[in-house]
Amino acid sequence: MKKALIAFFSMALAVMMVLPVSASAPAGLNENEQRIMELIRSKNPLAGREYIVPVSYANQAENFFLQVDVTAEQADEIIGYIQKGIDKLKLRQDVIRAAGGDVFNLRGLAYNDKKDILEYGQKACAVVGLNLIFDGTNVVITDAKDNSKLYFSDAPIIKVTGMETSTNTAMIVGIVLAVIAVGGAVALVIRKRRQMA
Amino acid sequence: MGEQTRGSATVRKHHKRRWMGFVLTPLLFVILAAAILYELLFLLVGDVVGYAGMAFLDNPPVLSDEIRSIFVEPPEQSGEDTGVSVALSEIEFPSYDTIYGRIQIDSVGIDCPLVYGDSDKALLNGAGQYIGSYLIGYGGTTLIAAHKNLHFEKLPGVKPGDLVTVTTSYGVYRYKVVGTAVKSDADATAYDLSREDENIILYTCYYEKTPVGNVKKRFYVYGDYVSGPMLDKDA
Repeated sequence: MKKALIAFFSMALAVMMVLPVSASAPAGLNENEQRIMELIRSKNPLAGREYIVPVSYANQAENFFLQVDVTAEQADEIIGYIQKGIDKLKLRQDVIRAAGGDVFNLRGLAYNDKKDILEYGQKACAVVGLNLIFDGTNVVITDAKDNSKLYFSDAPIIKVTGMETSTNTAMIVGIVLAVIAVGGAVALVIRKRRQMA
Repeated sequence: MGEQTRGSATVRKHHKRRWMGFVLTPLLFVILAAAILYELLFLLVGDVVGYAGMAFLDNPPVLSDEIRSIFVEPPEQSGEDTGVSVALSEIEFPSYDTIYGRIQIDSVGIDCPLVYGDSDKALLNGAGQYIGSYLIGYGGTTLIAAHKNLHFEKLPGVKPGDLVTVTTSYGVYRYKVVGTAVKSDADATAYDLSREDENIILYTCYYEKTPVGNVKKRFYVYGDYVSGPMLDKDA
């Protein structure tokens, strides 16, 4: 997945899970959940461009909604939270740098703004017993009581499925071997020249 | 005159040798030493940066080592026909890192568990489904990964026309392989998660020689739906 994907989309998904929802057997999306999904999948104008929530994010949200029941009131509040997040971003759109395509990069935002968005999402998740964390690389949302139940992650879609030899380790070994080889070659040349002299 | 010329040539050669000995060689070693230091510092600083990022962590996830399974073999020939459906409300939605099915490709001898979620733990226990793709039978793309040196070792042997069978507790699904491809792991055109028809994508790492470092290429197998009960979202 693109490194430039903004944390906001993750936060938005967290916000969508902001109210208590009752766990249930999976069923299709009800009207309320459909309203939320329509908003998630819609194009939103911001900073002179239109952005969309990545399909992979939206699908994770849909999979989550298949496992809960959201009421009309909850949906209204959820949509309100999403709108609130968008409005906050609009206030800072002068520092939002477009990363190209339809996905924005919010690296230009001030630290406090990012922190606010993150904390906003964390508090929202806590309301429904979900836990949102940012481990320095990825945003993940899990059940607060059972961290093994993961509902969202912005980790790359395509996983490492081959040998897991560390690139750094390989580079270090390569450099060390190069030093030994060059050192040996220089020593050999000096020795030969001394012998010739 | 000739001796003078030979003498000056010797001096030039001597200067050249000294220049190589006193300038080039140390320079080369300095560059190599700097490269080593950079790599070592990168490893150390990289960790520190990672820990700093964890300032946001209030409650880091603790993933258990167990892989749960909700998979139960369905009755023989259960719901293989197209047109048959299963109410979505009647199935148990798998939680993350849970085995909920089995993948078989008889043409190459693949037979492994299907896990909902594609964490490291999941990929050690079977083929892992990306949670941003849909459940088997839901009517969309199901994206599934497995290790080249474990469950999908023989995946590159799959050919168009081969059948992929996915067995879940709620039905047996068959997909016909319609294509294969080798693409970069960063190539987002390798998968389409927005399709609204039932289809399956399997992938694993691709390399011809034993790799050093992370493998950047993936081998993809694309399968279109043939049979199996669709999940009824309104029921």
